[in-house]
Amino acid sequence: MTDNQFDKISRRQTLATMLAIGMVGRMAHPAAAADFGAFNTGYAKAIVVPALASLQAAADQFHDLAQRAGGNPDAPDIEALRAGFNDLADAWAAAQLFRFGPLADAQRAERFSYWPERRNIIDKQLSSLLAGGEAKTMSPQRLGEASVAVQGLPALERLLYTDNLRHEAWLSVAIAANLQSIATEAAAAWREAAVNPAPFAASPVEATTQFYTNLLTLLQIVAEQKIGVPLGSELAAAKPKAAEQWRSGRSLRNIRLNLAAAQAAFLDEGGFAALVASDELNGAVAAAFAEAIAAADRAGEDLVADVSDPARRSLVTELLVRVNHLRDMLRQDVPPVIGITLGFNELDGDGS
Amino acid sequence: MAPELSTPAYLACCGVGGGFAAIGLDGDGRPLWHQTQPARAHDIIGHADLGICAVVARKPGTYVAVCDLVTGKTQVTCKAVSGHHFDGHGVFSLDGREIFATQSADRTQDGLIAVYDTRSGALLRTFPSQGTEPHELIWSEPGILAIAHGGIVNRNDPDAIDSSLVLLEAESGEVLRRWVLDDDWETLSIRHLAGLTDGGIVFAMQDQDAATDRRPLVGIATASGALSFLPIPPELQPRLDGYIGSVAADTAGRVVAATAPRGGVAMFWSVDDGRFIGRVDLPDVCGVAPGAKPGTMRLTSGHGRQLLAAVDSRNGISGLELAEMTEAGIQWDNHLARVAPGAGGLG
Repeated sequence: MTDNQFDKISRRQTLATMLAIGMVGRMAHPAAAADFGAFNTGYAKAIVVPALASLQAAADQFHDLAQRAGGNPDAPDIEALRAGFNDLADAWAAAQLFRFGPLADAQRAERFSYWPERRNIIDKQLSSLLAGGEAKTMSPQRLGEASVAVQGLPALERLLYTDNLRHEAWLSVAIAANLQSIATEAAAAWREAAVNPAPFAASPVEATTQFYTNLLTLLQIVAEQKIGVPLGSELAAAKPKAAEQWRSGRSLRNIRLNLAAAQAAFLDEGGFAALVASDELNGAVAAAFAEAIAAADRAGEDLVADVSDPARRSLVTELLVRVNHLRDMLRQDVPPVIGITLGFNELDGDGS
Repeated sequence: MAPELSTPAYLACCGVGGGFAAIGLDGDGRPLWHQTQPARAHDIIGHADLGICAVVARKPGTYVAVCDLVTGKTQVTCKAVSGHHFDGHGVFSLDGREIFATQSADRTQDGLIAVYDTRSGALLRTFPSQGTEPHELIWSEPGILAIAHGGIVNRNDPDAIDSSLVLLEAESGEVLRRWVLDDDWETLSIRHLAGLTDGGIVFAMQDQDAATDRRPLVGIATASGALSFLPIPPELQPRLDGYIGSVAADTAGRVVAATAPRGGVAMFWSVDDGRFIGRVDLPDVCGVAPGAKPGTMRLTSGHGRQLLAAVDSRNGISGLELAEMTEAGIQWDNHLARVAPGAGGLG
């Protein structure tokens, strides 16, 4: 295509056509183009890097615990391991928001916590791993090449919370070492990128758009998968065991931590609110976050019991409504004000 | 002075200013008309001989609007069968007098094909699509429909998949052939189709569990019934998130292109030997349709961009930017359709 057969259509010509058919003039204009590069470095330093540092610290600590349990395989301190698992799962719930960049590379996010899980795939992979005797010498490198289903938190949760499953110390150690290396790599990559105005993207505005899209994706997962699927359209359609980490009773705790992480990414120093040149809109978003988190608090601690109890289902429905209200606001009202355009096709499939 | 009216070469649906519209484009990607839609639409198809086009509402859709091809003005509206919704795709009969649209039952997602009169909008007849959650349908040859059944009952539940590709005799509704994938690929949802000139059908899939394996995402069902899969470079695959949004064949039927909006990439293959030719990076790309010349494809993105991609056997793929609509806030939706000169029934 070196000849002129496909002349580039000039922007002026296109705009003239669009003006003629009345298409221009509908778009919202941000007050002024924001300094997305400065925002990105501030966001990375103030919001992302601390969350990844916490994840790395929790993974280090869990690795120590697992090694200690490995030194005493016949009487491991399960309660200590469970406490360490909960700290690690807490840190993950606060970090899983930051999907764009290092956590997307090398399937790090899926390897850390594969979810939602296909029926039985983890149990199946885990039993085949436990059945192989030679696997007891498994290195983190070899585990890192195994199915994502057995590499991270879901496999650990089963080892620690399934009554008839003997705790296999060697596997806990291998998973712990794998999670430690994933967290260490991701945290290091973010620390390095925190000085770049366009980390992991072609331009600063593209990086900001991806960070913001992560916020919407997390809230979509919370609403549709973490709340919607277990709740079901009616009592008979409830699927309590589709809830995230129901074995360790963490389903609602994870939802609260996810909401809190999203809230901090928007409202804290370095968050998206700084790009919103409207106190009124920031106030409305803050209120919507507060209402969603209050609804999660009212739903209590036990999602499995809530969705199965006719008297308590309304608490979960209320939570879903509040999260969806928040999503609507973040998806429709905020992007035009901060001057970004969200992807249209990547977010939501081709119909629901 | 009345503006000169011409027939669009391409049709697409889009988001604009928080609302939705259908747009007719000339061969260079400049808008000729736009018509506001009451809801987000999905596919839009044209029939040049009858001078009509049809906008199909996005799943769970309530309407198909049959419109004037030159002005975009709605002539009649077809309503979904009671207890059912449109799944976003339809095809005209060869003569343009009828439109065949996929629908699913609201509760079970059981599929049916609903046939409407394009002049009155009246429902003429329905027959089972012989599968769960039908999505795109094409004519594999005159009188024979190929129907992609996504098989998804609940998009958030990775277990609920019953996907199939079905050939139906359009007059009788009789099943001529039914393909289902092996158990290893039980998480794949067959959703989009493109016809090849030799009767083969290209099918594009979405993986409901992309994390656990690198499964094929684009395949070809030959006229003889054999299935084969098009290779995806291993370094590219993780980026796709198991998600293909649309698929097309060029006018010569020698090149296939599939778009991956989550990966921000369009991929190209040679039909003759199944070889991966190359790719074009375009954030949020989804719409794809053949260019006027063999070996060319048109691409659209959710950020308002339009590209003309040309396959060059020596240099791979080159992309040329066409009319950019970003300033008008246009976000191109999932599909782009070429209005074939003459009858618009096939493909």
